[in-house]
Amino acid sequence: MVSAAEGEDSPHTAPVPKPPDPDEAAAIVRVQQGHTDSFELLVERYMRGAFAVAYRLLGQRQDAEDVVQEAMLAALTNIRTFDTSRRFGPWFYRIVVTRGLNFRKSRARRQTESIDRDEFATRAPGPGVDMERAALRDAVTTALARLPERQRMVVQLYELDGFSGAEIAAMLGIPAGTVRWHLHEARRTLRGMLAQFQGVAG
Amino acid sequence: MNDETRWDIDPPRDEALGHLLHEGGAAMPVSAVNWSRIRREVMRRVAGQAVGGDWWEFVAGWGRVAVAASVAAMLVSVLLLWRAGSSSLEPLAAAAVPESIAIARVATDYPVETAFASLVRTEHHDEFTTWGVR
Repeated sequence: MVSAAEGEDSPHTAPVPKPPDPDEAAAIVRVQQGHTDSFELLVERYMRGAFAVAYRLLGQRQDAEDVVQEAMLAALTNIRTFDTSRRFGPWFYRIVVTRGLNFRKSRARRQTESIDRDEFATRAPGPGVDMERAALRDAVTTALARLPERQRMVVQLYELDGFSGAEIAAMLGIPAGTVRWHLHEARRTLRGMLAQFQGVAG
Repeated sequence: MNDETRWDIDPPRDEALGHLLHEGGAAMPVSAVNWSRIRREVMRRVAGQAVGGDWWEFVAGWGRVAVAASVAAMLVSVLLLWRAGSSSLEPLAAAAVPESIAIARVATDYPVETAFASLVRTEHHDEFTTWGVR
């Protein structure tokens, strides 16, 4: 897993620092003044989180990388409107989601095959993968595909990518309570469908 | 009510479910991403891009100055006109209608009937009188 801001590997670490980080705020002020080289701190700090969000939306690595770059440039273009007393992460991730959704629309016009089929095709087990693992992959793929998209995004961003409910709420533009409800429903479905593997249910 | 059905706080993360999802291939392909390349590419494109700078932002930035300058110019104009006074405007008005003034001066030198008759003749001195239709 990749945390959003610090690049740590623990799924229990909040991905974005809660208060505005002084270094980060200073860098943003410098960028607002036209010193674009200071933008590198923000790129380094947020590209992993941005990739996580874009990947959950698009399901393809290359597309997610493209969206990360586009979102970074969009953030730079609009950075004068950013209030430095607030945290950069939620504002930036909202841009990533917007860009990701736009990208997905344009991609849907370009190709007819579904995103899910694409995503799952890249996850097909290789020849060296044992049967049990292959069965788990199939089960996870099927279970996630059955979830409504919003539930699927929420449970992946929360359980795998380390985002908090409030952060997911900010990026999706919905109340945090709604995010937690989606998480609850997604967990219930997944536990039921994956119960045969390691006693997840209960 | 347990933590999972409280909507005001985040529930604890489900490590078992997270592990299953990870093992089941739902994790991001982190190792396949070249983070250095992304950072380099973004900064390369950033170097050629200006921050903000749309024309309406520029206009908005100078808006207050423009309003203040307009008000000052209006006040100065009013003050100059007031100081010049209405009397100084009369020659201008007279100069604007020289023909009327000239007629009036000529007319006042003659009896009213004569001046009136002259004006009436002038009024009807059109193409019909030239052709003898009158």
